[in-house]
Amino acid sequence: MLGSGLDELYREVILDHYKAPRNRRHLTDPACSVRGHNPLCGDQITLELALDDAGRIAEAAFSGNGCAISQASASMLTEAAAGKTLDEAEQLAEGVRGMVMGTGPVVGDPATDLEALEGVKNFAVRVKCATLSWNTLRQAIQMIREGKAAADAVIEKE
Amino acid sequence: HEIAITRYALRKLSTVDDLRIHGPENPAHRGGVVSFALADLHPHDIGMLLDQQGIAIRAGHHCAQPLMRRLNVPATTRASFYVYTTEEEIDVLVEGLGKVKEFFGYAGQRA
Repeated sequence: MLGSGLDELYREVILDHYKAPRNRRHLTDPACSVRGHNPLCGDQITLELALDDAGRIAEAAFSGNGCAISQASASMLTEAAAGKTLDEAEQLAEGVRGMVMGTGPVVGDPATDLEALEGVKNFAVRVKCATLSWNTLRQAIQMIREGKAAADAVIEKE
Repeated sequence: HEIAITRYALRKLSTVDDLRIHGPENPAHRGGVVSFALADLHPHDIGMLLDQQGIAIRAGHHCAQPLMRRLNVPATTRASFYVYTTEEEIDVLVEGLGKVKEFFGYAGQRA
């Protein structure tokens, strides 16, 4: 409807995650809670992770507000992160970063349609929106490894 | 002309459902700009979809973060007018905003 250019960015599955976000809630007993914020545009995400006895991510949930890309990306993250070890989740986060920046290959995950974020690479101004939640995830993993429960960080790096 | 076109814009924009205009209603108390919020859509999304329709607006903090905090919004969308802006162009903006709402699923509303 609005031109094939934006259809690449706002793909159907991204709009779906924006309108009906998964795991937009609070966990009862999170291992950590980390807030990520894009000071230049106002997107914010708070990510909560719960771990199982084996140290895998049992559940991931988010809250916050911001543009469609940032919120959809966070929603997809919560589906993809569940069930992964901290290392696997970290690797996936780096893979997604590379994909949306156009420096790496398309990555996917059986739990959710991550490859839909590939379109972001053609819209440089929205890269930070897509990576906000994934950078927050990496921060959360670091916090867990360092034994810290919560953090309030302004996360923004390209 | 600036006051007249701003008055026209304020009038037309106030017919859009779910659109909240920031600032004074009296065009004489403003310059030729109107900042607004559209439903709970983020200005970056609004800006991108309007741009696709050939409509240029500014989205973000407009170098006024304290005002954003005061208004309790993460950012705003801002349309500005000058000597060359026509009423027709305002109409295009209003119609464009309708399409933006439709795109994000706010269907069935007057625009």
